[in-house]
Amino acid sequence: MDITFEHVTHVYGRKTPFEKLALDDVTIRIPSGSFTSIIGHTGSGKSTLVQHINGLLKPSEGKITVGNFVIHAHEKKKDFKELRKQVGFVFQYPEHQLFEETIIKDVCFGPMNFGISDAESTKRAEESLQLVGLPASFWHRSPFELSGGQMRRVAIAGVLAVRPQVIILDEPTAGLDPKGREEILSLFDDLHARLKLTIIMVTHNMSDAANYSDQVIVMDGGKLLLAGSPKHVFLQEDLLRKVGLDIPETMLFLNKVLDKAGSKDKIPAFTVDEAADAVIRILNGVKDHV
Amino acid sequence: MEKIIEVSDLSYRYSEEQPYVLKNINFTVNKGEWLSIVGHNGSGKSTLAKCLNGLILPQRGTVNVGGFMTSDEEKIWEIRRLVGMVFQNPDNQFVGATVQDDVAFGMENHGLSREIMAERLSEALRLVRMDQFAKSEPHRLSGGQKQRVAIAGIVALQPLIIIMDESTSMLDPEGRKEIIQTVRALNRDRHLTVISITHDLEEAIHSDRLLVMNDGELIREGKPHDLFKSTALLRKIGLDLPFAIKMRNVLRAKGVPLSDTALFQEELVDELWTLHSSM
Amino acid sequence: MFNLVIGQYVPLDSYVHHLDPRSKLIGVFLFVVIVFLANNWLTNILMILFCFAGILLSKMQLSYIYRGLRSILLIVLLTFVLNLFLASGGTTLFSWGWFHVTTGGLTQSVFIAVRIMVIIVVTTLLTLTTSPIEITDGMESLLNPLKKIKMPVHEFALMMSISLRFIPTLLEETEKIIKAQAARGSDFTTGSLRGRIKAIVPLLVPLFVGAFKRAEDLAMAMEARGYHGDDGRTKLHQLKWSWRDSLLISALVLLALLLIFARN
Repeated sequence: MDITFEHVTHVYGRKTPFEKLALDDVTIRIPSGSFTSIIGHTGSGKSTLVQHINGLLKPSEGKITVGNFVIHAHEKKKDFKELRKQVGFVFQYPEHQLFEETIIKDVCFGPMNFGISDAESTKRAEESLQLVGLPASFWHRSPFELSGGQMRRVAIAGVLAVRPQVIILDEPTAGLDPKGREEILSLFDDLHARLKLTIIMVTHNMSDAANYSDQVIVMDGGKLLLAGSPKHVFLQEDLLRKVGLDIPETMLFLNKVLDKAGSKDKIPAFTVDEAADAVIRILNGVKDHV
Repeated sequence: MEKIIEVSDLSYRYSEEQPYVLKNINFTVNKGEWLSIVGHNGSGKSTLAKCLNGLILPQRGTVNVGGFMTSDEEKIWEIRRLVGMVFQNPDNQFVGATVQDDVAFGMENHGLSREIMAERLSEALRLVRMDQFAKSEPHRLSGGQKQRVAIAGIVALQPLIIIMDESTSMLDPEGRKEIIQTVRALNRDRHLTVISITHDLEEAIHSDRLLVMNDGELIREGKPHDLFKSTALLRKIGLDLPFAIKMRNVLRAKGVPLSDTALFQEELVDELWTLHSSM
Repeated sequence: MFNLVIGQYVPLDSYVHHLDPRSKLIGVFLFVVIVFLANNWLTNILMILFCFAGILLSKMQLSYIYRGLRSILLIVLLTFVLNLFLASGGTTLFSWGWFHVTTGGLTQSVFIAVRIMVIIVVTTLLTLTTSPIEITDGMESLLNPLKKIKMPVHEFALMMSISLRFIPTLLEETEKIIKAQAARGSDFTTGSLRGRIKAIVPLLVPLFVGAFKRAEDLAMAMEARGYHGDDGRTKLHQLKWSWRDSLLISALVLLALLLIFARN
């Protein structure tokens, strides 16, 4: 399911004193099966952008296509159920949406809403809970007895149980400790690799954006600033800094090494391993020159 | 060094049926230092923090703050004035309808006169660079700005200690930077003792001293440079190593003969350079 | 949604804005009593003039006042029509079946409509020129004597101001949960009544859980910041009664005297 935005504009609170242009003529393409990260300063329009993909927000101008589903500005009320079945959305702090008496019932909520039978919903719920690594002994307990990290995984299972083709993640690791972060990110990385799901992730973490994505989209003031491979995007350090963004910590470190070597080069390395190799190359290079 | 907090043999559990979440904790805090308490979520570090200003009273052991026991009911309000606490969620600690009302809240509780309040209010707001927002309502502020207001409310009470209970974990990178800079300035210029509860080791390496918590126990204590010599333990309890250490370990595995002292990126770069020029 | 709930305080620099909230509260109360003295054309016109004077002194745009009136316009119209048919006296203007519209009925209806409208205008003016927190402060101060008979006046005022503070936060939270559940296929807007009621549960439970968590956090934060009730507490805001306030009350007394004099 390819996703395209054509000249999409979104205005909040039109014709009130609080009118705000949140998206300004955005045109992008997210290919089917890709892992796309969306970065930008708080208030740059990242969240507004992704909420258009499953019809939670409707464009004020422009057109959005998700597979065969088309959303135009100015069109009448539309049933988004079919679209939302295909596009799962994990909100920021998704554990705040849990409400059922038991964990398994909560995970079934999504599939049942989309008209999947009880038996099939339960089956999918169990699969999803296994996928997020919550032991079966928990399934019939109340979700409110869990720790924050466990609740987050239950909420994610609730989205996965619908078996969407596209998953949108709005800062999925906010507030988690390092171990929890790692678990969540590798879960989605795995889903992307194994099931070819399209993943769209809004994040503040440049290293995550660089390490997991095929494409990075940079938003600024409601406008599309940059889009392309992590390499392409993170080599434009000056531009990113101008809009209040950083580069991955590996590159920050390489900058320090390069600086010491008197070089103005930029090296796009995103894992510690790649960066270490680059460090060794730089050191040897300096020696060769001497 | 003058001790400002002394915790001895502290144990705590939420109810009798439940296991202890803090087990036999002993440590001291020196006046003017920056102490980080690290551990993963659920390690007991936040519960420990709440023992330090008497929000939680331990079943066993004692907490002595600036000469007062937290178990002393007469002194509890004085202890809470001496020990300010910034919580995790910026929204859930903002009491006032506006920024100035919120900063004044603590001073009102402690019965300060209106003249003193007005004076300290403007000073505290200037200190956290929120003086332009005195009349703003909380829903118009960013998370980082709200946390700065919380800090102003504490500073206005002229405390000795400020506890940051994961105060940056819900903020974006910019908000995080603002808060850390603000608290660093307070530590440096006003000699405020800082106790920072965090799971972010990158943040913690800048402290004077670290305490490592795991499953309710205090398992390590020391200066960052000493503590990070061996990294296996920190990884085992689910903490993410600071970048310079990850890099140092990988470089060593690739055959670069580095020592195990570098903790900051600058140190690592320097060491690489010395090593390289001596080869 | 926002503007509706938070009240419509419009911060301006005017005579009415600078009044002590206490005098405004007492003023509105007095005015509501005085209104019932008006019973002929002259007294009603006096009431209307007084309202216009208030609006002028508040520098408030008429459209804001109208916004306050709009919501109750239907009720005013309804009482007007009801009175038109029910009240009697004077000469009959026209008849339609059982219904007779008389001159007496017509004037009576106009007076009652004016009475409701001026009351709404004055209370709207109060909320337009006084922030919710000022109103709470004013109420606390006015109700202070009740503390002597152990009424929890301070607690009530604090509760009010914290509720006001958290309204925008909770609205935001509600919107977020509605969206999150909508993304999971829940639908609040279509379907049968039973279906819609069922769809409320996934919204209400998280909202309550969240609100309780907030309340718990807030209580903890307040305690950490030294809150221990009214005892020994000081206040940043001092209410100041000035000549302006005395002027307002005098004006109202004068109005009352005029009305007593001019009424039938």
